[in-house]
Amino acid sequence: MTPDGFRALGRTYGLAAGLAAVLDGFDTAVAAPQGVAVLPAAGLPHGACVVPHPFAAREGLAVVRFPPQSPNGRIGWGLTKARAVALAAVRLGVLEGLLDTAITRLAGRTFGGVPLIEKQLVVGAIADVLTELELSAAQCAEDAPAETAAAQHERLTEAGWTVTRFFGAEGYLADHPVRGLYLSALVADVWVPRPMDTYPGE
Amino acid sequence: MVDLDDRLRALRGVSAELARELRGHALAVDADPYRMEPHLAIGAYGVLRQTMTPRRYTDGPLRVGRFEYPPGSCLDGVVRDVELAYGDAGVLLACPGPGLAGILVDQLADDAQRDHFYGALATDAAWSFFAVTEPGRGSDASALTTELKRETPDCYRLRGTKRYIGNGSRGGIGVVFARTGSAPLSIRAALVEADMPGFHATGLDMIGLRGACLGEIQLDGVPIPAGMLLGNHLPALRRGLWGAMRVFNTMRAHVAALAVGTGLALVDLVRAERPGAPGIDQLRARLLACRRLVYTAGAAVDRDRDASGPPGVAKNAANALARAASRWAVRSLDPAALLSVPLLEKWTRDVCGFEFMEGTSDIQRQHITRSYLKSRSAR
Ligand SMILES: Cc1cc2nc3c(=O)[nH]c(=O)nc-3n(C[C@H](O)[C@H](O)[C@H](O)COP(=O)(O)OP(=O)(O)OC[C@H]3O[C@@H](n4cnc5c(N)ncnc54)[C@H](O)[C@@H]3O)c2cc1C
Repeated sequence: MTPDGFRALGRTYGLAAGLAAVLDGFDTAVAAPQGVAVLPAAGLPHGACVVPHPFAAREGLAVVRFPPQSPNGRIGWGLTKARAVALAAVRLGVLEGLLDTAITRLAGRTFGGVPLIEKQLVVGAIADVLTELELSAAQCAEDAPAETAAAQHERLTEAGWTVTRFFGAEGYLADHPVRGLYLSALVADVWVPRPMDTYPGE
Repeated sequence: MVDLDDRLRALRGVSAELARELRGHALAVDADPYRMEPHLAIGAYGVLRQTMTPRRYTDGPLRVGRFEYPPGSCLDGVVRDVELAYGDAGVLLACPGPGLAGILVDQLADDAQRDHFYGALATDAAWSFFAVTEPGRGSDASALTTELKRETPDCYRLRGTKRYIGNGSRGGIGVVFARTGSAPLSIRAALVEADMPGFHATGLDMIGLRGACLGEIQLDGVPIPAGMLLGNHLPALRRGLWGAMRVFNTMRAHVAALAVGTGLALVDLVRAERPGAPGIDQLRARLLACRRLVYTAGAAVDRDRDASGPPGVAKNAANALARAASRWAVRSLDPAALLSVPLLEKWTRDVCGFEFMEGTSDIQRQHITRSYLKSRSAR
């Protein structure tokens, strides 16, 4: 599947369906970083032990731990380069779907009689997300080195946080579709190999 | 800028000690925030109630050594809350007692109303709520639509829906904002009890800060005796939402304290797992500077309850830093830490909540600039 295909999947069917496609044919038990993974809840591989999470199941996901296979434990490198790109594309789709929902919400609410969608700070923030979406989609089409994946995913997490904020307190409820953005970040945090980072500022 | 004196350092010390016990309850409260029975004896809860309840309803103020901490000081409150939130902000928000509503009651209520409110909170498992936000109106609180209609000279009826209200579904008593007419000054606050006819509350499942137990309250013709409207004895400008605006300044400083405490906790969590993680000193320095801003905001509010600039600056700085700290913490540790150190995963959810409390960062940004421009033109 092309990045555009993964993106459409994420947008139309959500994070769990997109993640299932990203992980298709992948030995998650071996690849799970230090035996830890977030997986589609349907059809968990043998040996995966589900760790409680307050709302992953609502999104059709499970946070799991695999028992160590060897006495030395395991490393588990996480997603390969192509799969990290596919995951970025899925996350793009999820993000763009929720941006759409957020825009409808912002258009229906007012402050001082003015629709929120017309407030300059909101207009600017939407533009920033749209720009990031385009940039990230273009990066999925580039043959970028594997080490750049973590930074790309971090940018998506930040864009996701901007979209989450458009929902106000509704964006802090576990029974709202916005939970997909919190879990999208968690999926990337677990699966995408990253250099041990430095503090870039807030 | 505020430097803590011996009295405040003693309060900080005792709060830091209490925070250790409080943290031990963090994961259980997160997993099941409505099951509070095992947590009610937390030492910090006693101190929170003692420092947030007026003297006449307690056995006296908190004492640490030769120092006393009577309720009412915002600076004392933020010094305490930075430390307790370092333990865990979710457990702190789950504390029974007067909470936000108490701050408003202290400022707007008469003696009989105070007796009523604090009387209802006399047990150690009684929560209160402070209800402004509605499903359709959040940031634009002055456009709220909940209606307070006079039926007889002695009785009003309350109709509308409040949503995202801390302890909304477990609070026995609280304050509800509603309008008696269409003018801005017609927004009033009323003391409301959950066992009144027409009061229906349900809990909302939260992403993080789950101890705050947000709820939705439906008010379906709840009868409100006229004596339960707050601020009858005050001038019209001080009574309703405008009176409450001053309370929001206090609350904002408190939310900033929660954010800084959580940020500092994240730094130390990473330090314990990976001493010398790149960026740790920078981040800690920023957080300590922000803590100073929070103390400054507390002192500014104590000097002038209308001071909106310093709490807004402190809240925005702290909110951004706490979230940055959570992202840095995740990136600084290996993925397995999200499971093997469960507080890491929890705090990455918790830090997102501060954004929405007491005004989003974009609303604060506008307050900060307006407040600056006002003082600039006054110079
Ligand atoms: C943990 C938690 C505890 C809470 N506790 C309470 C409580 O105890 N009592 C209570 O009454 N409420 C409480 N709230 C609700 C909180 O006060 C509101 O969420 C907040 O006021 C924002 O309102 P909203 O959610 O309706 O967002 P909205 O007002 O719908 O905002 C949506 C988005 O639009 C933006 N926006 C809105 N207006 C403007 C503008 N003029 N210019 C630019 N951008 C704008 C916002 O920044 C945001 O990004 C709580 C919320 C949380 C998450």
